[in-house]
Formats: sequence, structure tokens, C-alpha cells
Amino acid sequence: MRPLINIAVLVIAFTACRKESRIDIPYQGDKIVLNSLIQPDSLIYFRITRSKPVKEYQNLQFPEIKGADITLLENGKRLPAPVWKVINGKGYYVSQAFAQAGKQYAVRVAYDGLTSVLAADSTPGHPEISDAFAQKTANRVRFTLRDNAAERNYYRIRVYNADTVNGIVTPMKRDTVKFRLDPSFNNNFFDVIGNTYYSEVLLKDDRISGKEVQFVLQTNKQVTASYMMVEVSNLTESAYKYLDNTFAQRLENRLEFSLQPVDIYSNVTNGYGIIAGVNARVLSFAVE
Amino acid sequence: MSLFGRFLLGMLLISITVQASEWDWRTRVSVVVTDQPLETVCVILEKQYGIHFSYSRNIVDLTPSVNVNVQNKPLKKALEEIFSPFNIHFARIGDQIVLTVRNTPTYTVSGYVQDARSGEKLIGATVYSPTLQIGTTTNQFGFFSITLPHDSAGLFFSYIGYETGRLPVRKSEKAPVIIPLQPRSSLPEIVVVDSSRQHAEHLNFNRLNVSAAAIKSMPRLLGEADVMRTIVALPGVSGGLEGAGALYVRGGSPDQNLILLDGTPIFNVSHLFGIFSVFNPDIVKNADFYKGAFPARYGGRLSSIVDISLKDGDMQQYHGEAAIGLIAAKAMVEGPIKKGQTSFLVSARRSHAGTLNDIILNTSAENTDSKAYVYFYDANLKVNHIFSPRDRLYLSAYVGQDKLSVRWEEKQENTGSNTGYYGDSRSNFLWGNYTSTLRWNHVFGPKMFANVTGNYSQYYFSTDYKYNYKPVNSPDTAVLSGKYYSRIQNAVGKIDFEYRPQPKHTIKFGTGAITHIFTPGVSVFQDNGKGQPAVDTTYGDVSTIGQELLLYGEDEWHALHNLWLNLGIHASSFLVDGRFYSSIQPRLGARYQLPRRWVLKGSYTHMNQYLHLLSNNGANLPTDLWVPSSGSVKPMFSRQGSFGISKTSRYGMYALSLETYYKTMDHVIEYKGEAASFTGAGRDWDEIVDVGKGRSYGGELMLEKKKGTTRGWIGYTLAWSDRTFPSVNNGKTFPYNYDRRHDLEIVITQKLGKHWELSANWEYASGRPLTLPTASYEGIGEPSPYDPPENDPILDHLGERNKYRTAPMHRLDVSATYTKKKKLWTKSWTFSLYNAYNQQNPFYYSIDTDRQKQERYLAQVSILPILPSVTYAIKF
Repeated sequence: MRPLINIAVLVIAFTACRKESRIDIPYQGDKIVLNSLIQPDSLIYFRITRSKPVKEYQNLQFPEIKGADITLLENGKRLPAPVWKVINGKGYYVSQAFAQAGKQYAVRVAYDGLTSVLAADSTPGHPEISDAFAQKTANRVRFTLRDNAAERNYYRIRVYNADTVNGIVTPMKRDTVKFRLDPSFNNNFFDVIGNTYYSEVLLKDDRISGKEVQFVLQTNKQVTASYMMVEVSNLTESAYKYLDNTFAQRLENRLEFSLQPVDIYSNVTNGYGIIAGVNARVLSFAVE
Repeated sequence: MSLFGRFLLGMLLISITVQASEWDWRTRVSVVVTDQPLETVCVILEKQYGIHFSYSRNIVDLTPSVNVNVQNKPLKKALEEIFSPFNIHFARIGDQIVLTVRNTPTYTVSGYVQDARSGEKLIGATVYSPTLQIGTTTNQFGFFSITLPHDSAGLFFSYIGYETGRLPVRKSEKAPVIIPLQPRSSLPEIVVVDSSRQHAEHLNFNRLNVSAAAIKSMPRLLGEADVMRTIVALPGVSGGLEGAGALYVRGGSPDQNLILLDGTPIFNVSHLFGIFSVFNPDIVKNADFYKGAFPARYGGRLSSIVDISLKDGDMQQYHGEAAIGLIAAKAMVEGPIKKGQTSFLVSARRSHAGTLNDIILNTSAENTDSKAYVYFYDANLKVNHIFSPRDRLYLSAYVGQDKLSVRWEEKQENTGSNTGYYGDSRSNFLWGNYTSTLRWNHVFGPKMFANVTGNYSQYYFSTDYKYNYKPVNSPDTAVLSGKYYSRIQNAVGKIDFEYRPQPKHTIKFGTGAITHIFTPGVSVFQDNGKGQPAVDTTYGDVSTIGQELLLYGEDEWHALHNLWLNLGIHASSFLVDGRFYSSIQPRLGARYQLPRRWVLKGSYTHMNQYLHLLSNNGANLPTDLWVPSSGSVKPMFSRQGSFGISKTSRYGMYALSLETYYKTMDHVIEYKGEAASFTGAGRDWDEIVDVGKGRSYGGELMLEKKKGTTRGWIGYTLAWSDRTFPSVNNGKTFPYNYDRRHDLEIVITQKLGKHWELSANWEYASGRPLTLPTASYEGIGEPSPYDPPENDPILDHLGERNKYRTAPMHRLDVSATYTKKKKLWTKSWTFSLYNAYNQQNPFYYSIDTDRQKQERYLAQVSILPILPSVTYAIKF
């Protein structure tokens, strides 16, 4: 969709005019929203909320659903029910054991007055990354990725500035580094010609399948931090589709539905949201 | 014979003799009828004078309408006057006049109708015998053939904007004749419809003719007249998104239109993302548009045929035109290379600096300087050579291109630390068509005409970019480069015959072969700055060749005096990747004339299409990819039936037409999910599309004023169109993207004195389908709650596909042209206002989120406000 929008810029350059529309937007009714990106070697955090009408003039927060009945299965075997916990002011249902790579997780959520929902996905293995490098005052970050030829792989790449806290390199996650990827890898011309930098890049392994490839990321600002981190996540197909479909809304508060009405991918039956496996690896390094 | 039998015969003969004495050939008769069948004349004579007529209805046709005014004339002379134009012989046998068909020798006249001054062949000129009430029209090359009784009166020739010509009675002649018609020089741009043209209209089943004068008199967008915009203003045709010039005909998509330039298919017909068509209006001679009742000679697309003919070039004198407007400048020159034998025409058009160029793209990055500019050009060349009265050769070529260049430079310098970098990126997007056409006309005899065509057409889209990155104090340079291109090529070899054995039949048949070469998308990227071999990232380097063969035959048959039929069949086959598809498509059309110039018309046609367009749902972009039918995506196929009624006023001043249609479309395609990036359509493109069905039906009303200083039409369309795909919208049928229920177009042109012509075009269309989000919910981007994003993502769930409607659109375009004729040349100024009352019509919708106010709402985005323009043109 992004190429279309970039080209359409020229057409819209004929002084576009924007105003609130009077078209009435119907509401499909309350549904359970189930969200979790399952990271192996970590607890599983389920965020369960309720949907709302699209038009809103007072409060953009979504109501949490507390007291839901949650059933969690790992490879078909029932695990202890996740427990309610408030983290950073928001409520989550947290599993009582760590997730593992290569497992299938299924979740069922029931709540009085709402239709029960079901979702399932697996957890991928971690990506093989190495040799991260950046130089101060330059605006290039490099690392090497070895793609597994035996699988169809999907990746998410992010870069953070970092600092040491008690001798441990810690990412400054609110200070995401915006960058562009060499277009030969993600097949997107517009990353170069559009002069757009992203806080995350998603790609399939179409062009790098089975290869060891040095990625060169160009940052939009000169590297000034003493430490940096490159995070590469292996994604399941569900995770890739969801993150790709929601890119504009998650990161740019934009929704393009008029010219290309394609709904966001969801694997939650009878509800909204996503249950998907991700497996992130991080390279922390000192900037030279 | 028995005795009784002989008695009866004797009585009968006596009776005849007695009766016969009541009239003879000198009996003076008077008969007056107006617009009545010939049979009525016989009935009157029988009633008033006791004259009995005997004839066989299977042999003698007394149904033609006649106007007879015989006053006190001898019977024999009166009957000669009445019956001879219809080739009816009469003889007295006893008390009766027996009517038979006279076996009169006939002769065939054939030739070309052309402009007397320039030699330009006139397409669709009417050839007409008023006494016999038979006629024909010239074909795409200005050729006609008509067979007449030996002693019939002369022929009349007429054409819009020309004085009527006459050819006297002549003996049979094998060589083609040349009929020169004088242009009506005092009213060069006025459309005048001769009354004999009404007759010719019977021969044209559902063909809508768009003349060069009509194209130029329409209001202009940014100063450019446009043939495609004129067609969009006709009922049954929608232009899609505002500003885009794509054709959506009777619920079909733009790829379902076969657009021919001098017989060569054009795959992308627009410049500047659809704002202008690629056809330079100064050299367009004629455009025929079919939206149903497709003649068998056309094939390969489902929804419409636009057959555009360019001027051939003046055979006698040099002429030229030049114009400059806000967007583009253009020039055209035509003239003889050898007088009366060889002519040429050259035209060129290019957008110029000003409105288009130097569109600065906003950029959020610091220290960057981004610039983008866009331009287009097109050029035509045509050479026409007459080898002999029987042989003509036409060579034409077209080249057109749009180019969008984007450049940005960035610089970060830290003078203190001698660090920083320099970046320079240059990208070009190019797209356009090349075509070349060679056509040879040969007249085998007065009744047989042939045209041999060889043509080549290519549409391409390509991009290339270069990016240089150079740090100030580091060898870490990068020299990235890449290119991407997609292409479709088409080579056609075709021979068409036109055989007119009798006035009542025009038989057209032909055969052809088309080679399609599809290259949906190849991309290559390289980084030459790494000092090591680049990873081979060539992608999608696959070409597919499809071979199409076609064979057709059709008969334009004047079956009865008031019934015209077009019976045809089009057969084709397609071989691609080892798969073979074939199709036999019946094409049937009928017109039945009722009294008082009412006409019933109906048609039933099948159409087949072996090409598909991978297109984004919302827009018609140059990046769209043409692909062939594959194993899972079979050729598109449609059936269309239409029925209508029309009425022409007595002198052809007004015409009213009402038509209904029903069309089905099989094997149409739609992306299953999000449309793939145009650079990502590889060999497996057919796995990401769904194959489904389409349906459209509706009615179209057109009221036209064809004569006088005020002309124009009102067109109204009531239409429904939908699509069904197994995996889109949960398999439920949904309205097609451009399913507009009501569409009203009013086009008026007004001549004011000798110099001014005003025109206005007002369109109202009900809202187009819209998919709306029906719920919003919280999203997620992080696995861990300990890394919360700055704002929780808000996502929207889209409801059923195209269940809702945008706001309706309406717009008024006006134009005024001042023309003044000087001694040697004519100048004109055209002032246009697009969207004259600045209506904000919806272009697209989005959900806007205001986190500070904690609000979300639906926003409507409009483009193309009031756009004034001026064009200055000269013609010599």
C-alpha cells in the first residue's frame, strides 16, 4: 500500500482539502479483544480488552476485561491458568511458566455477556545474527544475518540507542532509531526514493533465503550514542501479517481503508486481536 | 377438364372481360399518401378505381414506406412513378395488375469519400440513394461500395460539417471513384447532421460516434481537450476516481476496454496518473465507441471498444496547428510529400515548466533537500501513400512517456570534529507506450475491400535509482543502484475483408494472430560500494509468451425494409505456458424500425479476454501489471444482452434513446488480501488473487439535440454492478467499487455569433461504494508489557466490503472559446473552469485520531478544487 500512497502524493498535491465527514459509522457490537505476542523464554502476557465504536469524542482508552476465564494450552496440553497482574498501570493475564520455542499455544477466553474467543499460534526459533557495527558521527549500522534455508522466515528489525546501567547495556526503547534498509533486501524502492525512515522494518526472506547477508541500515540521524542495540525478531506468518497490516496504525496513527479496503489480519475467532509467536535476538555493542 | 370445369373457366373469362372494361392504362388517377407502406397505395387504387393487384408477398415487398403525390395522372404513368424506384414490374392480366420483381441489371459503385481540400478520408460518411431509400456508410478507411439498378438516379454523399455531394448515374466502373466533399468553411466546428444520416444510423448497432469537433467543444481540464473525457460523459460510462480518466463501462473495469489507435491496442491510455489521455486531440479524426452489440471484428476485451482513427495528413497543402496551455504545449504539421500521392502528419506534445514541475515534496527529515518533478510527452507520425487507385499504405507510429524524477540530497557536517556525511539519491520513474502500425488497403473489385495490418504495441513501466553515501572521515561509502521494469508487448498480424455482394449485405470477415509477451516485473539491486560481489537480488525475471489466434465473420444484413441485423461470430484461441484456451463468441444485433421514426434495438454478445490486470482496488496506476490467463485464473468471459428503443424527431433535430442491459462476467480477479507491491508480483501472482464473478445491469437514457447553434445531450444512467469472490468479504456478493446508482450528465454547447463558442458540462453521481470500519480495538506491538509504546495502538476492524456509500459528487465545468479567422490563419483562445463552483467532492476517507483531544472521527479528503485554465492556439 505504501507505494500507492507515495505515488498518489503527486495527485493529492493539487491542494487536498480535509474535513470531517457526516457519514454515520455503524458499530458491530462489543467483542473480546485478545492480544499477545509470545516470546520464548519469557512469561506470556495476555492483554484482554473490549472493542468500541470507531467514532470517539471523549476517551481513547479501551475497557479492560477483568475476571475472564482463560484456558491456555501448550501443544494441546493444558497449562495453569494465567493470573491477573497490573503492569505499568495496565492489566494483563500472565502465564505461570515461560513459553518455549517450537511449541504450539492455544488460548480460549470466556467472559459473561460476550462471545468466547479462540486463538492459536506457534513460537519460532531465534534468528542467527552477528557482527553488529556502528561508528560515531556516521549514520550507518551493520550486522550480519544468516537465513535458514529450510524454513520460510519473516523478520522484524529495530535499532535502539543504548546506555549502560550497572554495567549492563540497556536499550532506550523510547529512543528508537529510525532507519532505512538496503532496498535489495525488502524489495521496496520507496525506502530510498521516498526518503522515509522507519522505526521498524518487516521483511520476508524471498531475496535472502539460505544466505548469509550483511545488512546495512542507514539511520536518519548521526550515531551519537556510546552503545547501540540491533533487535531482530523471527516472526511466525501470523505475526508478520498482523504487524505488517497494522504498521500504519501502530506507528503512524494512519488508517488507509478507502482505496484499499483490506481488514487487519486476526487469528482470534469470534473476536479481534492476535496471538502470535515472535523470537527476538538482540546484539548490544559499543559504538566505535 | 370436366364439362363443369370448362363452364366455370368460361364464366370467369367473361367476367374478367366485363370488369376490364371499367379501367384502362389511360384512366386518370389521383393518390396521396405520406409515410405509408407501398401496399396502402394499392389498397387506395383498388378502393377508388376498382383496380385489383395480384402479387406474391414472398417475392414482391410492398412494405417500404413511401410519400406519393399523384394528381390526375394516367394510370400507367402513375404506376411507373410509384413502382419503378422499387424495381417492381407491373403488367395487366385480365382484370388484374400483376406485380413482379423486375430483373434489372445492376451496377456497383465503390470508392472513397474524402475531404476535397486535403484528401483526408472521411470515416462513416453516408452514401445514399433517396429514390431507392438504400444506403451505406464508409468504413474506417473512407471506402464504400453500393450496388444499384442500372437506371437508378444518382447517389448522395454527406458527412458532418461538409456540403452534400452528388454522384450522377454512371455505367459500371471497376476502378474506385473518389468523392470529394467540400467542407462548410463558414462553420468549421459545427456538427451538422444531414437527414440522410438518420438512415445510416440503422447500420450502426450501438456505435456511438465521437467526432473531433465534439471533443474540442467539451470543457477542458487544465486547458486540454480529451477524447476519453468526452466518452466518460456518455451514459453507461463512469470515470472512476475524480480526476482520473479511466473508463468504467457498464460495471466493467478499465482493463476490460479495448482501446485502439489506428487499429493498434494501447495498454495505458493516460498521462499524469489519469489526468489526460495519451491521444492528442488535434490529430484525432474520429472515435467510435461500443459498449454493447460488439461487432464480431472486435475481440479480446469484455466491456467496451474505443476505436480511434487519426488524421491521414493533407494530400494537397501544408497545414499546421499549435497551442499552448497551462500544462502542455503542442504542435502539429501535415502536408503532401508528393501531391495527391503521399502525405505525412507529425505531431508532438509536451508538458512544460510551471504548474507541474517543481512540485516540492514535503519531507520530515532534517538537512535534506527533496525535489520532484514530472512531465509527459507524446508524438505521432503518420505517412499515407497511394500506390494506385486500388492500393494504399498507411504507416503510423506513436511514442509517449511520463517521467517522474525524485532527487534528494542530505548533508550533515560537523565542522568541529570534521565528521558528517553527504547523501545523494536520484530516482526516475518512466512509463509509456510505443506503437507502430503498417496497414495496406487493397480494393480487389467494386465489391471487395481488404485491409492487411501489422502492428506492434508496448507498454512499459520502469524505475531506476542511484544512491551515493559518502562519510567525511570514513571510507564507508555506498553506491547503491537498482532498477525495476515491467512490460507488456503485443504484435498483431491481421487481415480483414469487406465484401458487399448486394446492397442488403455487408459481409466482413478476417483472421489474425497476436503474440503477447508479458514481463510482469523484474528488479535488480546492487551495492557497488562494498568492494565485494553484491548478492544476486534479481527478482521476477520471468517473461511469458501467449499466442492468440482469431477468426471472425459478420453480416450487416438489411433483412426487411425495416429490419437490420448484424449477425456475427468471433472465434479465438490462446496458448500460454502449455495451456490452451479457446472460445466461440456469438455476436447478434438487431434494429427494427417502427412508424414515426421509432426504432427498437436489441443485442446479445459473448466476449472473451485472455489478459488480466493486477490492479490496486482504488486507483488505476501506471504500476498496474498485465498478466496472462494461467492455470488457476482462466480467461475472463462475459455475456451481455441489451434492449432499447429510440426516436428521432422529423428533421433529426432531437434524438432520444433508452436502453437496458444485463451483463455477467466470469473469472474476474481481486487480491485476496492486501494488494502486493508492484515490485513483488513474481511467477506466483495467481496465488494471491481470487477468481470470481461479476454482474451488472441497468438502464441508460440519452436525449440529444443534434442541430442548431445550441447542441448537447442529457445522459442518465441507472446502474447496478457487483462482484462475488470465494475468499473476499466472506464469499458474500458486494457492490463493485464504481457501482454508482445514478449518474446524470448534461453537456451543452452554444455558438454565439461567428467567434464565440461556450460549453458546459454538469455531472451528478450518487456515492460510490465504501468500506467502513465498524469497530475499533486495542493493538499490540511488543511482547513485553515492560516495554510499553508511547501510545497504545488503536486498530480498526473493517466491516463488509463496499456496504456503505460516499457522499454524492457533482461538478460543473465550463469553457469559452474565442476564434478569429485571419487572412492566412485562425487563432483561438479557450478559457476553462474545471469545478466551477468549487465543490469538494470526496476522493478518499480516513479515520483521524487526535490524541490530545481524545477524539477519533471520519475525515473526507477532496482534491481538485476550482481549476481555471487558458489555452491559446493557432491553425494555418
